[in-house]
Amino acid sequence: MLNLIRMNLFKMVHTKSIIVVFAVLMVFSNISSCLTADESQEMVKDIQKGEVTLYSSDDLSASFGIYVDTPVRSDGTLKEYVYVYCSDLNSGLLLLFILIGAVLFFRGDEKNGFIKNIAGQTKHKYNILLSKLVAVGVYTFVCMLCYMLIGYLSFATGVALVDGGISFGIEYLPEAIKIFALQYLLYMAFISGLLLITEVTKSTAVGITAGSFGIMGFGMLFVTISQKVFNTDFDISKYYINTNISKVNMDAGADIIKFALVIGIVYFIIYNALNILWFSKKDIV
Amino acid sequence: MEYILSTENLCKQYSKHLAVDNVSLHIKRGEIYGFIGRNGAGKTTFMKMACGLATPTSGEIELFGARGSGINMHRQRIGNLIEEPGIFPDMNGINNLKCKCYALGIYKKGYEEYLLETVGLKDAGKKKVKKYSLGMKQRLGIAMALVGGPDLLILDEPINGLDPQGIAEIRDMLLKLKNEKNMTIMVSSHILEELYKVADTFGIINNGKLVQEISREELSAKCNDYIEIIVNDSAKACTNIEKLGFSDYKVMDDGSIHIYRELDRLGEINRELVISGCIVNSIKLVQENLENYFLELTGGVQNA
Repeated sequence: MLNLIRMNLFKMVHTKSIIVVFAVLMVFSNISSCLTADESQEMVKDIQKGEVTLYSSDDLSASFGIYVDTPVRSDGTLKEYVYVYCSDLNSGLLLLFILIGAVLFFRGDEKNGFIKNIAGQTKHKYNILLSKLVAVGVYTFVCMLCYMLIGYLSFATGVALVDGGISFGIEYLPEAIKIFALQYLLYMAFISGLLLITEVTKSTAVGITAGSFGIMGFGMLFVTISQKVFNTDFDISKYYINTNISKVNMDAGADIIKFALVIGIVYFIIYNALNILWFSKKDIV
Repeated sequence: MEYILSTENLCKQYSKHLAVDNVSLHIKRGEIYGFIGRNGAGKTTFMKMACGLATPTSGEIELFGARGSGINMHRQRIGNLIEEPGIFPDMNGINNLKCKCYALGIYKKGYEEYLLETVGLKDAGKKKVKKYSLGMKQRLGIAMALVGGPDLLILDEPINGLDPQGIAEIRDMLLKLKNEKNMTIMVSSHILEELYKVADTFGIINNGKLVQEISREELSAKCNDYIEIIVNDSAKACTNIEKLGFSDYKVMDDGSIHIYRELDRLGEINRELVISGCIVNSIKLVQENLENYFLELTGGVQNA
């Protein structure tokens, strides 16, 4: 198993598409942070003039599209960077990039047939899948971490040019680590689901499209349909992973955190158990 | 008799299509086993099951003496190249080999270079695989199969798309692996004449069924040689051939005459035909090849 993990990590750092997605993500982090820094300055001024109403991510979680929370408090002061970062995690933008890289990597060795070289010689076929999942886990972690570092440097530099810099929010670090860990779990659960879809449909396009739709909130359609069909107010969307991703932020209460943790663990286990079952039974073609 | 790989009534069904139908095949230690069959006959499916890439619908595989779940312990002793080589085009040859070495837990320094040298790619290790020719990719695929020094090498159409020189090199390499490393090799090919030059035993598969398993010696005995004569007047030629005492001959649809006995009398036949006034356009000794034998077994040209 450790050998397979090492092989997959080696493959990952030598796979062009993964490197390209990672590089684009880092450039995006830089541009996004610079733009947010610039915009937040304008927003601070507008709030002080009383011209802007702020919406929280909770208000927007039930809408279609990708939304990033404003890094400004209602009293017109800039939030610390950990808040800005958590807001980016909530938006799903980062998840979209990670998802593309993960799906491309996951299917890569099946598309070029490399898997045929090792699948027969592995004692348990599912070890190949698990080792790829570990590699995707490492990739997700590195992306999240690097996005934060590049984002902070860009944001701090952008704001510093105008307003003397932004605090990282080191005093909130224990809370931020908790949120980071929970978001990581939710991200991995979401990605695991998409990897299962990719594996079953044997298509990276289907995997990425389904993931994009999920992140953009198209799952809300099912809520509307189910409520109309069954004539009920029951909101299934609270069990969606992406709904929980959008709710877990620095201001989230313990009940939200606990619920998201359960959702993350349950989905992660179910998706990967199904994927292991599928992968063990299927023929390598 | 010690078999490295043997199967008993092995079947593989894809929905309604029975790709492999009750195949019982036997591969002896240290031999090259030629697996022959037309497209869609079930060769690749069988090889995939032997390698552990596909699960049989029914039947049993015995691998290195183990059966049932016990064969999983011996899977690492197999190296395979199934269909096209499975390689990362954006990586170079060395890194592709490194991937497989890591997977098998091999961390020997210089091992990848040694494998590349074995398959004649010594100087192409640092070149990106997407810049390789078809033959180079095939060789890299074989190098991948050789990682870990397998006891059984399963190669599916390894000479597909290669030029004559490439085919000869692969053929020499297979013989070298067999003779120097005592490796058992199962190889399938469409180029039957090439297979005939290296294989010790042949398995002929048609429509998923193993039609025959035959040793090289038995095959040589079965493949009859004959004299082929092309003349301007077949009827007149036949009269003269019969005068010489030949009775075992056939006049083919294209007018050529095939004589199956006393092949050493070719010169005598030629002289007699010329004396009798026949214009002999061609007279030669033809060796009945594996392909004809194969076509006979698998139902003729219309089936192939």
